[in-house]
Amino acid sequence: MSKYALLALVRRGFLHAASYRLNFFGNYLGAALVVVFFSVLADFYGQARPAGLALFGGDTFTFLLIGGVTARFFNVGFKQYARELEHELAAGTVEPLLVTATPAPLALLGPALWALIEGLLIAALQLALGVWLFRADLSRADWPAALALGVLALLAVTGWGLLSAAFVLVFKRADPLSWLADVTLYMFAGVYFPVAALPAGLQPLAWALPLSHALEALRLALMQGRSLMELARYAWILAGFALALLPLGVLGLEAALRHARRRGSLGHY
Amino acid sequence: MLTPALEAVDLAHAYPGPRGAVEALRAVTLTVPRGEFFGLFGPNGAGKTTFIRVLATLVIPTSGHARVLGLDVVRDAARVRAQIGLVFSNENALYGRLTGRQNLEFFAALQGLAPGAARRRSAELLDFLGLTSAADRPAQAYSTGMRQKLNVARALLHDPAIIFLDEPTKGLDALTAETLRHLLRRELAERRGKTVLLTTHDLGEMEQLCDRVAVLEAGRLRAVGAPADLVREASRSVIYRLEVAGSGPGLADRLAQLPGVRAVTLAADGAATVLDLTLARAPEADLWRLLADLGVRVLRFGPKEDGLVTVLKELSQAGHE
Repeated sequence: MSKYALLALVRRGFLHAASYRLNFFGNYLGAALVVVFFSVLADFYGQARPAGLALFGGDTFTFLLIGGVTARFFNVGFKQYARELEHELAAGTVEPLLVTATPAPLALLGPALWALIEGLLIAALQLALGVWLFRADLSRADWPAALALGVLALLAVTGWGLLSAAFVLVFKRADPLSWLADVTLYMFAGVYFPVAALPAGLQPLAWALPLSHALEALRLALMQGRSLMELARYAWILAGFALALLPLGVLGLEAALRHARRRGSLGHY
Repeated sequence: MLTPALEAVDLAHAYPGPRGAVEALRAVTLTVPRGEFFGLFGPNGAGKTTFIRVLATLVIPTSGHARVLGLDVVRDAARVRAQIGLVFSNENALYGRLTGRQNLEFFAALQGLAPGAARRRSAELLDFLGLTSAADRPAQAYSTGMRQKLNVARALLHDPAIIFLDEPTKGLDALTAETLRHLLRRELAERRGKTVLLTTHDLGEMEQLCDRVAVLEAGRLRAVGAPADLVREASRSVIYRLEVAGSGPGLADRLAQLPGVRAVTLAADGAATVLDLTLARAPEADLWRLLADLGVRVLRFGPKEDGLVTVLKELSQAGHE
């Protein structure tokens, strides 16, 4: 039964997104332009060859491309559950979803599935454009290792996303958590510069975030071809984050759902 | 003996508010047998929608129990949901950018129907509700009546045994409302034997559709019975309005002396005289004889208010005394 629900949720998300045609194609165009932007930025700074890049052994463009693509995708994972839930609340469709036979967590989180799939497609498109048009060097990439690390990071991010959705169920807006996600992701996680480039006092804060570990591990896997065995330390750290954040997210969502049912506020926005 | 379709025992719910809890339901005990078209009647804030939401597993009651076909709405919520269909009063609770058909196929899948079955069932319901020609138009382009029909179709996708209708004709024009009422009564209750729980502010709708009615007021259950019985019960001291041509001098005094007349009040005097008569029982021959003897031309005579409004006022007054 959940299988049909899952497919239907993905299909609905696609139909809904595709109904805004300009926005739908704009997303892809925007993602492609970002790759061009990274190329320009890399050309500009590339001459300088920052010392922090030595760890990864590649060029500035590949470094920026992997950081930007990964951050964009994980940002979707961070925010999309809450964002879609906000849309459903505003449209008045949360209660109709919750009186179906589909389990409540799936009904509440399912509307974000298409966005995650689209996020993956866009990430693949950006990487492909980066390699074909701007010669990003992924020739040594260990793809299985990158995939495994990506999945672990996604699980950890999903835990945060669930907490954010729980926040929306209770407070009807996810702004504080979304803001926190943006700040931590783009300022501390090493998207545009390595964590080592941060002031020493801020580096512990950066390493408290799963994405800092994910980005560094992904860059090592994709730029240097490090295997999963070599990156085991990162994998364990990401698994630890996932094990801590996922149950927290699930428990938080269940508690929020119970809270909203008790208060009779499921349909409020 | 068959398990009742719906049971509530001492059901209570309080919504937290800035100045303390607001009690929406207070110890409501009620049983609805299978196959009954049952109405919930009461003013705004009486607790009707909360009652439906508790039964639909959307609200957890503060205390008491509620069962749907013997299943507890809190402990067996998932199994309860498989047995119910809910028509929301908000006809906009649809995906406006998706077509009517896409909306139905989506919710059918969420009800566990395989894609082929979802397509067939959606087409069947679109046809049943007269929406086939508009099936492939975005739902946001539908009229209010069409959206509400789509709402009804959504509630029927999984062929539930029990259907909750929360003000299903709200905002519809008279003709569309009448068509929908006819459809609900004939198709759901009479042909398919569904149990229906209806809330509405439309008194005619309540009297026309429901086998029995529960009157809720300030979260309390005031009365349960067939609409006609409730009206008869309350009519023991119904106020009747008599409108006669001309000024009718002395008419009020003569009427006040009749047996069974408790009070007569002059409501308006002019080209026509309007009198409100509080009667201890339904008007009898004495009244008509007097009016005939006086040669009064009666322009209008009947209960001052609709039957169920009278019931509500009576019960509300009794509750405050």
